[in-house]
Amino acid sequence: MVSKNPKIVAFCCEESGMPAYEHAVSLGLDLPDGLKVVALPCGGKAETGYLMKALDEGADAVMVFACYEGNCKYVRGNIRAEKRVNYLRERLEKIGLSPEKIVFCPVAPASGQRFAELVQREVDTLLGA
Amino acid sequence: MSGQQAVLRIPAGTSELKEVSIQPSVIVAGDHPAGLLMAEHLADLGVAVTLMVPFPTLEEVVAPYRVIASADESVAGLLQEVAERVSQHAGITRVTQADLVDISGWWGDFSVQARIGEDLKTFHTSGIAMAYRGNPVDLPGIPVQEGVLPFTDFLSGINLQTGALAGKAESPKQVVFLLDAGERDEKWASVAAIRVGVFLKRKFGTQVFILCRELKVSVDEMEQDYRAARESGIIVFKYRQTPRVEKGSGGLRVVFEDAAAISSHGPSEITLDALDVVVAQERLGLSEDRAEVLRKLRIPLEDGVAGPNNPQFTGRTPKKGVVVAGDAWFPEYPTDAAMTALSAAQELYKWVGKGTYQVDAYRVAEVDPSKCATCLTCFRICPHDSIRVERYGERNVYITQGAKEGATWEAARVKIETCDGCGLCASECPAKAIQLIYYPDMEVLDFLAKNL
Repeated sequence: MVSKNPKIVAFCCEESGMPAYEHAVSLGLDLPDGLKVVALPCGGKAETGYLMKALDEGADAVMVFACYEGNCKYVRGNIRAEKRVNYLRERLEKIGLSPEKIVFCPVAPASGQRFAELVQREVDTLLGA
Repeated sequence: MSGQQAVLRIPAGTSELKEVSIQPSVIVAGDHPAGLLMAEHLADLGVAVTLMVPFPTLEEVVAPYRVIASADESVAGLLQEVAERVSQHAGITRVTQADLVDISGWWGDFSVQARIGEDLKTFHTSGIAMAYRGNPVDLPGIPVQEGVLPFTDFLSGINLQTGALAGKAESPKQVVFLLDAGERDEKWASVAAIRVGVFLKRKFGTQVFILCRELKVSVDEMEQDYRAARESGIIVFKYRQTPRVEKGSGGLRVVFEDAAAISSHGPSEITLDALDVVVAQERLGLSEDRAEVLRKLRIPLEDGVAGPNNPQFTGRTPKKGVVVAGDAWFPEYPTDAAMTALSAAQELYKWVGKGTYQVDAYRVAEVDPSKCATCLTCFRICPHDSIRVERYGERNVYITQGAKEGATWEAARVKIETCDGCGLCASECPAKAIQLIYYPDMEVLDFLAKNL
């Protein structure tokens, strides 16, 4: 059962996700209190262990914020992250959990608005489910 | 409430700087004029440059661009004397009839094997710049037949005095430039077709038609040149589907549907007949052996060129200390290619020019050799090619460490100088043998345990 204030862990690429989060904060956009932000040097560093550990510790959802395809500073880190997330979503479905618990979100560094929207959408999905 | 969230940031500070000495030496290899420009620029900055060209003289590097240079002053200004200047430059060691065969090593210590004439010779250098000309990969959608020429062949085959093509006595009367059939967004041919077209029309009276999907004019002074082309009688058509090229009466015939025609006025098919030459914009890519050299350095190629992989870094590759310019980067008009070459040379100078370099030995990954199973996962994943398993046993023979003298597989090792600390290897290592020194897994896991 998801509480009214879901816990969401956002793994943010240092090049895109983190600036987007900071942009959202500087714009004063509404972000849920349950949001925990973990900066990573690259979206591709969001390893399966981190994502599953977060769910294991009681997070309601995990989001990976990385760069758009073709924009990765490390050539293919974002593609790796996306593949990993898709793999985990499959696994979650197989063990009977909602795949919406792990999502991959490409963002641009200056898109705080989109960051906040994506987090809000995730909250809505969780509460609606 | 915003700004109230728990945030784990990447630890800054406590950088462990390590001084690395780098010989300011560079090998510039290739058959594109961008190579000459890079060599000159780096030599002027005081770097010891070895220039390798696959021809007996440097003149041949710029020779295929002579026609563009006579049609366009800005290209002439770039290329006219560069071969001469480079061939007399005191800071450049010139090696002719040489081509790169193999490259190994890292930034600061590359081992380069080159074929010089018949011999193989090994060079050592700190940085490498490659400037290759593209080879025609294909003429998309256009059957090869007599009178159909790839654009680069047309440019290099034309005689500047008579306007005649190789093997012909007179200049062609009617020429069609057929652009954009390849659907790759390259503007060099649009620019070259307009400028060379005006040159041919004015000097030899050749009637020039340009067939394209989009005429790309986003180049300096291109608006004036386009106007000059219209005024001198060059006719530009936009086509819908790739035009048909067939044998006609007294030459080639090109048939296409005019995209600008109004359909209610009946069929809009246009036929150009009695053409001497159809010049088709080919797709340019690296030849197989040159692509192989880049692949060995683990520089990803897309469509046969290195550019589109990271468009934000002009001339730069993921491999530190290696830059790529010319058509090997992306097929560009000579003035644009020169800009790419200069920024690539600047990038290389940043890495090798100073003599010594400070490397952050803290913001890197580290392998625990006792856990490493030498599965080569990290090697496949590293975008900078900076993690390697250094010594191999016999193929497919797995021997645990220290089990047998002389046949051990050593653990993977990170080359600190070129590691960027992105953590991709650490995240994929199945044995969890790799950790980022500055940001170990425990920090993230502790944060999660504490805050959830």
